[in-house]
Formats: sequence, structure tokens, C-alpha cells
Amino acid sequence: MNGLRGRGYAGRILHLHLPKVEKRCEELREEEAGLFLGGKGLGAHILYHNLKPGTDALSEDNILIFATSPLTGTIAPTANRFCIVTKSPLTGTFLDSHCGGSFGVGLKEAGFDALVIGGAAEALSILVIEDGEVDLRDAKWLRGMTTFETEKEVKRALGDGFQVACIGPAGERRAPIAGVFSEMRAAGRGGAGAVMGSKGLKAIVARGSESVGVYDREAFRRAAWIAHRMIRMHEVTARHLPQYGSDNILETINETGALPTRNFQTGIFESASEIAGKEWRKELWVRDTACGRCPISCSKVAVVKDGPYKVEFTDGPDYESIWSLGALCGVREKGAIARANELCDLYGVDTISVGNIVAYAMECFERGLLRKEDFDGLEPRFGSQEAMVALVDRISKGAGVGGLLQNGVKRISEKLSAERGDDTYLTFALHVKGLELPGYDPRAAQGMGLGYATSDRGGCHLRGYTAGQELLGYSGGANPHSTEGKAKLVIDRQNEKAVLDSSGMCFYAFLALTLKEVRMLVDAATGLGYGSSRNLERVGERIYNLTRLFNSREGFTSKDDVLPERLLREPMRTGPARGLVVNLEPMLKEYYRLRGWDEGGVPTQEKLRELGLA
Amino acid sequence: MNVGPRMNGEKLDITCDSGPQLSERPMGTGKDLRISEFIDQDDERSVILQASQGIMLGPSGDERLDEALERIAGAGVDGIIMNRGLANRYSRIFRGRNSPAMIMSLDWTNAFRGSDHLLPMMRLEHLVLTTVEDALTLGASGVSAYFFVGYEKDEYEARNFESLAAICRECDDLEVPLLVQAIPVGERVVKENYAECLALASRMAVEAGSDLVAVPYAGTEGEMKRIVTAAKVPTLLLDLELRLAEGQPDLGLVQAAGQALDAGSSGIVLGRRYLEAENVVEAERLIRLVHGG
Amino acid sequence: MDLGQEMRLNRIFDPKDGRAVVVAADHGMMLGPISGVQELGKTLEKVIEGKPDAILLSPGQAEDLCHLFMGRRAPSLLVRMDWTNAFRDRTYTLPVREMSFGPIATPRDALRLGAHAAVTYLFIGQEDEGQEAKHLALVSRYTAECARVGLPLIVEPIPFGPRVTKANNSELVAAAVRIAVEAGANALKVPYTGDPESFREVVKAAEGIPILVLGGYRALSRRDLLEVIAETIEVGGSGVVFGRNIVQASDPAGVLWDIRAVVHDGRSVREVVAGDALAKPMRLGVHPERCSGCLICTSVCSFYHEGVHDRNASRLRVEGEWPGPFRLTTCTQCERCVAACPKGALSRSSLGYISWESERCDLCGNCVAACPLRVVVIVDSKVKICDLCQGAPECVEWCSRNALGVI
Repeated sequence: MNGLRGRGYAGRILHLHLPKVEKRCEELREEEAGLFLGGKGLGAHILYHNLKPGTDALSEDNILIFATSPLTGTIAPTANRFCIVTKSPLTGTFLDSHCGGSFGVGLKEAGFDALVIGGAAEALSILVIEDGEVDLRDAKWLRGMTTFETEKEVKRALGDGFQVACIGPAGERRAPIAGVFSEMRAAGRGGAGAVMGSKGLKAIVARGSESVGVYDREAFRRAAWIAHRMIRMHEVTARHLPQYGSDNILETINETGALPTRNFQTGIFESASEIAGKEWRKELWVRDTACGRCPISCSKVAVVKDGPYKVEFTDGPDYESIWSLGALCGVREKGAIARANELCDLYGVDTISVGNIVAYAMECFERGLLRKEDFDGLEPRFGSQEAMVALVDRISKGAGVGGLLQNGVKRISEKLSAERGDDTYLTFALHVKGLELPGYDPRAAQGMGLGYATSDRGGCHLRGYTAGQELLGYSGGANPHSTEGKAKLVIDRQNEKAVLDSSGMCFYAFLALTLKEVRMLVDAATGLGYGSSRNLERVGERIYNLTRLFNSREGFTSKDDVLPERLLREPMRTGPARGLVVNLEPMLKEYYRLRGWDEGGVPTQEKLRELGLA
Repeated sequence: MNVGPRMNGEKLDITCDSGPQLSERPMGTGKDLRISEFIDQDDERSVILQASQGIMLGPSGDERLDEALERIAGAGVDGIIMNRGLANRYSRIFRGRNSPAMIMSLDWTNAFRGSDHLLPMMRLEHLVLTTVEDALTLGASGVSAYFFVGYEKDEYEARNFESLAAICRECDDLEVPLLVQAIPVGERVVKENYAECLALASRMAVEAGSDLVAVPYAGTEGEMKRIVTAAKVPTLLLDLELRLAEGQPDLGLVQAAGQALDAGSSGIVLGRRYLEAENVVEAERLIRLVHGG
Repeated sequence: MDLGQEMRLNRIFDPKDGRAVVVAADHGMMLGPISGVQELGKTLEKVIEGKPDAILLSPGQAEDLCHLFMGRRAPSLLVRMDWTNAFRDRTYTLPVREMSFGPIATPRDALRLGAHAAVTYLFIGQEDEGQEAKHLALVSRYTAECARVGLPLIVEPIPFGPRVTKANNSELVAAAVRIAVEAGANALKVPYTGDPESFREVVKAAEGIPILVLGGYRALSRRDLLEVIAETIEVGGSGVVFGRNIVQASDPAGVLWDIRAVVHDGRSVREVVAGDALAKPMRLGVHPERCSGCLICTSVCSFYHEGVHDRNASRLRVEGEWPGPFRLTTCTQCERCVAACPKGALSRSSLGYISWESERCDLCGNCVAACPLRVVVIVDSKVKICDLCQGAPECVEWCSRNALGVI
């Protein structure tokens, strides 16, 4: 039997090369676990060592990894999460996409810490993993089903207790913005769903009788209790999030002039108060729900009974979805936003990408760069709920103009620019490395600009989340308009997040906790003996350097650590950040220096040796 | 690191940058708070023990002072008057919110050295030993000073009054309540003018700015009433253990206290004989008389 | 420490046990008219019924509300000497962008207000080390002046700012405490580091200077609040300074009574929270509409009893898929299982805790069949029965939604 089994881990990694179903089980060694912990770290380690550089992300040579963490499935708060690690078809970079649904728990109970899939099935299939055994079955009967139906039908057909990860129709047709869903929670960003679709997998299900055990029961119980208690006693996690969901921050982001409105034309949305969390709570939310093992319940269920867009039920929406389908498109009608969110979830696409695509389309139209003929007769103006919902409908279904639009803002803008010989199309495409930007305008929060530019999966807010200090006043605040000290802030946040993403816990838990509590939980669960927060932070630094290596190997250089034109050249027009652009260069220079990377943004040999990566 | 000048009466430089100097707030409420530490908030009365005469008279008896102080504190006095040396040595009895308040005696006089004393008074002397600021620094809730009338030389009364006025100013400035023990002394004070002299002393103390006044028994309840009414600040009956003036009325403390309370006074300042074990029962009786129950 | 400081400190820390229960009500100056602080006089009247040892106010309020402090039995008065914007996060207007602080009163002012101690912040961890140095210099000037005038100084060392990360947070608390002590603090007001082991290091760093743990945001659960306090006392803390937890409570005196029971009377948290309910038979109750489907209850049930996380071995059940609603089923202590057992392997204690004796059991399954709610299960040849966790049901303790309770 295996050394790590029963210590949070299952102790085994399942390798499959489709269409063959012969499984190859590899032991998860203590040394590996100690260096990379699990989740993102483990996935990065496996991907880096197994994927050939230059591989087409949608070819059968790409590797699709589902990775859990040692805390997944335990009573550590929010410890339900798993992640998907692969090369992104949207950006070509490293991708780790995380999900709060319980698939990871099922995988671990079936006896595996991670699932590594190479090759592709010959026809649309469902992969069944149960108590260490693997089976690949025909999934024709699931073709075209929404994510919600897929999970429901699969569970009904296969029986109680299976956990499911599936794709919607968008993933089936390999739209680069497609995500993977479990319990209607999305691993949304970067196109993991397209990779899954390219491997012919409509769904993966897992079930098992291996209960998740821990190394030191008493210590683990205490650590879990303390962590739960801290979450219960923290203003944000005990009040703001349960009451108003992640949308509780919208009005503050707006007041600080950082709410990207109308394709980042400005940072203040005049109708922000209509889409703030309070209003959703008042009118549309009927219930609080939570991911497994989460005491926060930031999730909501929205029901729209009146108006042009009725919704039977949809998840949330969360802040990013409300913002991208709302303010970013100039839309203030909650019913329309809920309906668009529903479409994205059911057809299986990332709401942030979709919102950005619609906003891009709207700007093209309003500037006369595209006409209604280009949009199947629609007139996409900012603020038009009809146009927004209609475009979202097409994008999520890949229908009509959706066929082009579903490829993401980078590809759309590059195609248009090449076809029409006009670079203008590129100047308002808001993405970094192909991943569309989230709901914080970095001209109003300089640190976020650095975060977007240096995130390992492209324009992401979660890595390097300085908005807490710059805009929300957490931890003594930080001057949002200054570039000083931002490099260090971003590095600290990135390293911490990498640890979190490898431990199975959620970003929101970390608002209340510090690395001390994570370390207490990890040590008690695994017995790996990290001993101090600093040692755990090291793991985060190591992981971030590894993903950097991956991206370098794929050809990304410091030239790609850049921001869209609009953010570097067009000064903000209104609000507290009026007149500002992102002053990226000094921050980036300082960032490389503090990270121990050379001027080209490549980790030096010395740094790699220090981290045990060379 | 620039710590700033050590204070010696200099204005404290509390600034963070080169910002404006913080000036002191003009008003304060410290006096009210501190007075409430020895005046009971329910009945607005007080029983205080005078324990400061050692500095003036020498020791009394071979009783252990710490035991005696604990005993009288246990009996329930609201405050104890002490001079600073004693306060330093016996601070333990003032600890905690249920303990008596410490009132610091500011001055020294030989007025209490009667004819049977080791060194009987020949000429009345009176000087201030401790400043109000010192008392406050040492944690006092209030301060006490003497004011005598009946000096042989009027000049002495003037000086006593001058120092009293200076003390009052300092007390106002630092928000420290002042208890003045106003006492007629000497040969010029006779039975016929005793009450008048007492009224004069009391009134002068009040006008100078004292917050409480302690006066010896005036002779009749009517006279007590006049003095209490004229005072306008809480007036306590002062237990004088010695004859300090020719005309000083002679009445047992218990009786005098009864009359004084009926006349509207606010309590008693007990003499130091109540530190003795045999007198604690009477002390308790007097405390019950003042506070009821 | 000289006589005046000692005397005044003893009016805050009860000489009997050296501990204090203090209420902070100086938020108005830092955060604005937050609820509870809005009509401070009224709030404090309610607070004083709970008999705190001292109350912390800003100088203006100390002046206006001095009548609340009159008399020896009234709480002692603490006055804040300084101001900061550091705590203005997005919950309040104008969230902080650049932390700043500065003096607003002197120790002499505090004395003239009749204060028994002065209180000041000491921030550690700002970006600008020059600011940190200035702050330390300011605190040193305060300690010097306070010593001179006989007023104790309570320092509130707080790690705050961009150099405080999630990795160094609790070590910084201990370091900040040490710095404050060496700068001359007579007592300290310190944030909890989350767990008793790390807090013990903080107490050690103070080397005997009394530490009051401060309670930030309002806890939703009284039990959590008291537990945190009890933990700090156990490792050498000297009491608490709670602000919003008391001034924003609907029953400030009640909260204070409970806190005093833990701090001054040495009662256990369990005793204070459960009171006499512990001596009566108990049952589980549910509010299913509050259930979020998180399954923490089923996980802790199996972890508590089996030491592993196995939903199937849980003694309660949560059913339903997203989007809910979720159905929560618990044992109701109806005891049909006990009656149905032919071997007497199931028995009930006087308080209603059902227990199972494996030696008597032949796994016939009658108990499972008899349970109308199907919460009795047999897993791995063991009968899983709800035993109310011997009086402190885990599912109730861990549920953050108040969907489970004890009746």
C-alpha cells in the first residue's frame, strides 16, 4: 500500500491514453507532494514533464489533467475544489481552471489524486471511474445536452453517489471559451471545456468507497475548527458574502472608478446601483447555496418571474458575470443579465469571455466598424438588453455570427484586422495573451494592471489580486493610483494564490484566513511537515516559477507581459482615476527583479536551483 | 530616532511631522469624575479618614499602620487623606474600584501641636510640601489643604490665602478636586466669635475655589446650617481631636455629626484616632449614620 | 511603573485576578456614526448594566459622557490619544487608500478628563519605513509623558499594511507586541492570532505586560466569541477589549455578563452558552430552509465518529441537488430503534444520548428498518446511530447557517 494514502491524499495518479482504457497508476510520491502539494502545483508538474512544447491545444496530443488537493473532501472549510490543468486553446499558455463542484471528491474517493488524460476517444464518450476501475462508454445519448441536463441524466442513469464533470454543447463543438462544469459550478476560464471536447469526453464521472482520511485526526479537527471559526468571525465571509454574494463589492468598485463600463471606455457605470448585490437580493434571489464543505455560501439561486426574460433558476450570477453581462455591455436590466448567465451556464461557456465578446461587438457596431448585416440583422448597441441577450444566445450556441464570436476577443480582433487591413480593431480588444479581462479597470488600480500582465494564464484577476488593498481598503489599503510597491504586492498575492490553488480551498476562505491556518490544515492532514507559513509560501513561489517556465517554453516572452492599448494609452475619462493610464513598465521591471527573473522575464538558473526546479 | 525633549515643565511636543503643535484642550471633566470617586453617587455624601497628621505630629500608638488602614478601608470609608510618603508606602489599600479613594494632603502645619506635644507650637507655621501636579501623578483622586483664620499676624492669613488661591488655580487647571479644611485657630478666636470666624474661613475657602470644605462643629445646629448654606459646595464635618482655639465648642463627634447632617452637611472627616482598633466600631456607626442602612 | 500608573491600572485590571473586561466605543472617530455608536450615550447606558471594568472613548465623547463614569463602581475611563484611517475598509465611506495616523490629544488632556489610562495605536508593516519610525517615536513620547504624569499607557500594536502578508501575519503580532513593550507600554491591546498556540508566543513576547485581546468584527455566534476569549485567558491573556461585538449587540449587557463569567469567574464556555440546557434531555431541531447544501454537517458527523470523511456513515442526511431546496433529516430521538433491538445493543442515557454496544449486536438490521427517517445505517459492520455527540452535537456546532440546532 501507498505511503500517502489516508493522509489527505489517495496516493495514486491515474494516467489514461484514450481511446485505450488501460489504466496506468502511478504512485504519488511524498517528495512530489512536498514540492507541489496538489491541485495547480501537481498539475503543473505533471503537465510540464509530459507535454511537448508547441502542441496544438485541441489536438489529441494535448494533456488534460484533473487534479485534487490533499484537503479536497475533508472538513477543512471550502475544501471541495479540484482543478483542470492543460494547455489553453484560447491563449496557448498554461491553464489551471478551478471548480467548486464535487467531482474532485468523487475522484479521490474512487482512489485517485489526479486524472491525466492523453489522446482522444473515437466518438463522444463518458468516462466512468469507480473504485479504481475505469470504463469508457458511448455518450451519443448525451450529445447536445446542456450541462444541467447532462449531470442530471448521467446521475439518473448510473445511480447514486457519482460525481460528475461535464461539458455543454459549446465544449462539444470545441469553442475555445468553453468550460467544464460540476454541480453547475464552472471551471470557466481558458477553454478547458474545449480540450475535454476535443478528447471526445462529454462527461467524466467518479465514485468510490475510499473515505478521505488524515494523518493526525485531533490536530486536523482543531485546525479545521479554528479555520471555520475565523471564517465565521470575519465581516466579509460571515456577512457580506452570504448576504450579497460576490456582487457585494460592485458599488464600491464603481465608486473607486474601477468598474469597466462599455468595453472599458470608462470606469463608472451610471446604473451600477441597479445591479448591486442588494438589488438582486431584494428582487431575484430565492436561496443561498454553497459549494461542498463551504460555510460561506456566496452562491445564490436567481429566479426571474416577470419581464421579457424569464428564468426558472440560474446560479448567482456572481460579480464577474453580473459585471461582464451588465456594466461592461452598458446593460442594467437584471432579468436580461440572469438570462444571459443562464445561457452561458447551460451551454457551457465562460461568462467573462462572453461579456467581453459582446462588448467588443457593441463597440465595433457603434463605431461603424461592423454593420448589422455582420450581426445577423441585430443592432448591438451598448445598453441594449435585447442585443446583449441575442448575442449571448448566438455565442453560447455557436449559431450565426456566434460561430465567429465564440473564438474570443483576440482571435476575432486579429481576424477582422487582417481581413480589413485595419489595426483599429486591435486597439479596443481587451485581453491579455488572449484571455479576456475581468471586472477591475487597472487604470484605477495600478497593481491589477501588473497582475493581469503577469498572470500565468493570461488576463486573470485572481492571480495577483491587489484590488482588495487598492480598492476595498483591506489590510490598511494601498494607494491605487501609485505604482510604488505594487510589484511586491502582486508577487505576494500570486504566491499565496498558488498555494491556495494547490490546497483545495477557495479564494473567499482566504479573505478570513492566513497561510498559518492553511499550513496547520495541510500539516495535520498530510504529515508532510511544512512547519511554517514561509515554507508553504515557498511552494507557491515554486509553482509560479514552474508555470512561467512552461509559458517560456511555449514561446511567451516579456513582450507578451503587456496590456491592451486602451489601458496603456487612453486616459480614464471620469471618476477618481480620471486622466490616468496604467504605468506598466516600472512595475514590470521591478516585478522581474523581485521575482529573481532576468530582464526578459525568464527565471534565472539560480532562482530555479533555489526552488528545486533546476 | 528623534524622541524629543524630556519634559520638565516644557510643553510636550506631540507632533508626527512638522505639523502644528497640539495645544491643550481648554476644558475637562476630570474634577467631576474624581470627586465622584469619594462622594457616593446615590446619597451624595462622604466619610473620609484623616491619616496625614503623622507628618505633623509624629506616630500615634504602636499599631501597625498597614493593618489599621486595611481595617478602616474595610469599614467602608470613601476616602483617606494621606501625605505622599505614606501613600507611596501603603498604596495597596487603594487598589481596585472598591477601595477608598486616595486624597493627597498638600501642606504641613504645626497648628496641631498642642501644649502637651513634644514640641508644642510657638508660632503658627504653614507651608505647602506637595504640588497638585505631584498628587495627580501619584494617582490621587483629590487633594486636601488647610486654611486657618485667627492668626496673630494678619499677614500670615494673607499668605495662607494666597497659597490656597494658587492651589485652587492649579486644581482647576489639572481638574483635581480640592478639599479645604477651614479652621479657626489661636487666641483671637473666642467662644463668642467662633461661629463667625468659622463662617469666614469657610466662605473664603469656597470663594478661592475649593470644591469641598470641611469645618469643625460650629456650636449649634443653627450655626452649622448657616455655614452649610453659605458654602454652596459640599460641606463636611471636621473631627478636630485637639483644642485649637479658645472658643472651640466641645461636643462628642457622634452628636455633632447628627446635628451637622440635619443641618445639610454632606458627611464627616474622621480624625486619626479612628485608625485604632478600639475605635473601628464607632467608625462603622458613623459611616452608617452618614450613608444610612 | 510608578505609583500613579499602578493605582490607575488597578482600577482597570481587577486586583483579584489581574484581568479586565473593557468595552471600546471610540469607533465614531475612526469609522463614522456606525450603528451602536450613533447615540452613544444611550448605548453605553445599556453597556454599563453589564458592568464592564472600563470603557474606551475618544476625548470629545469622554467629555460629553463623563456622567456615566461617576462613582467608584462605575467603569473606569480610557481615552484614545490618536486617530487613524486604517480601519476604513469598504464597509465604510471612503475606504482607505493610503494609511495615515496622528495624535489628537496628549496624556495631560486625558488626565484632565479624569481618564485612568490613555490608548494609542502602533502600526507595524507599512510600506514607508519612515512612517513606522515616526510612529514609534510618537509612541515613545507618549510613554515618557504618561510616565511623568502617572497615567498608564495602553498600546495597540497592529500589523497593518502592504508588508504584512498572509505568511508573516501572526509572527508580526508577536514582534509588534515586543516593540510596544520595549517602547514602554503599560498594557497592550492585541488582535487574536486565531489559535492559542500562536497567541501563546504573543503573550511570551509581552513578558508580563498584561494583554487584552481585541475583538474586531461582530461575531455571529456567542459561542465563538467566548471561545476565543477563553483560549486567550488560558495561554496567559489578561482579558478583552471588545467594541462592535458589544456596542452593536441587541443585548450588550447580556454579552458582557457572559464575557465576565468567562474572564472573571472562570466559568467554561460550554457552561455559559448552554447554561442549564446541558442538564436536560435534548433533541436536534432543523430549519431546512436555511440549509445551503454544503454538507459540512454530514462530513463532521463521520469525521467525529469515524475519523474519516465518509458521507455514507453520517447519522444525518442532506438530500437534494442544485438548485435546491435541500432536505435535512436528523434523528429525532424517537427511540424506535432502541425498542426494536432484540439484543438490547441499543440503550438510551438519561439525557437522551443513544449508544450502541457492538458485543451485543448481531447486525440483524431491525433498528435500520424501525427508523422512520432512515437515519440509522449499518456501514462496515457497524451500526451508525445518532448519539448527540454526548451533549455537544457536532453538526450543530459546525453549521454556519443556523440550520441545525438543539431543542
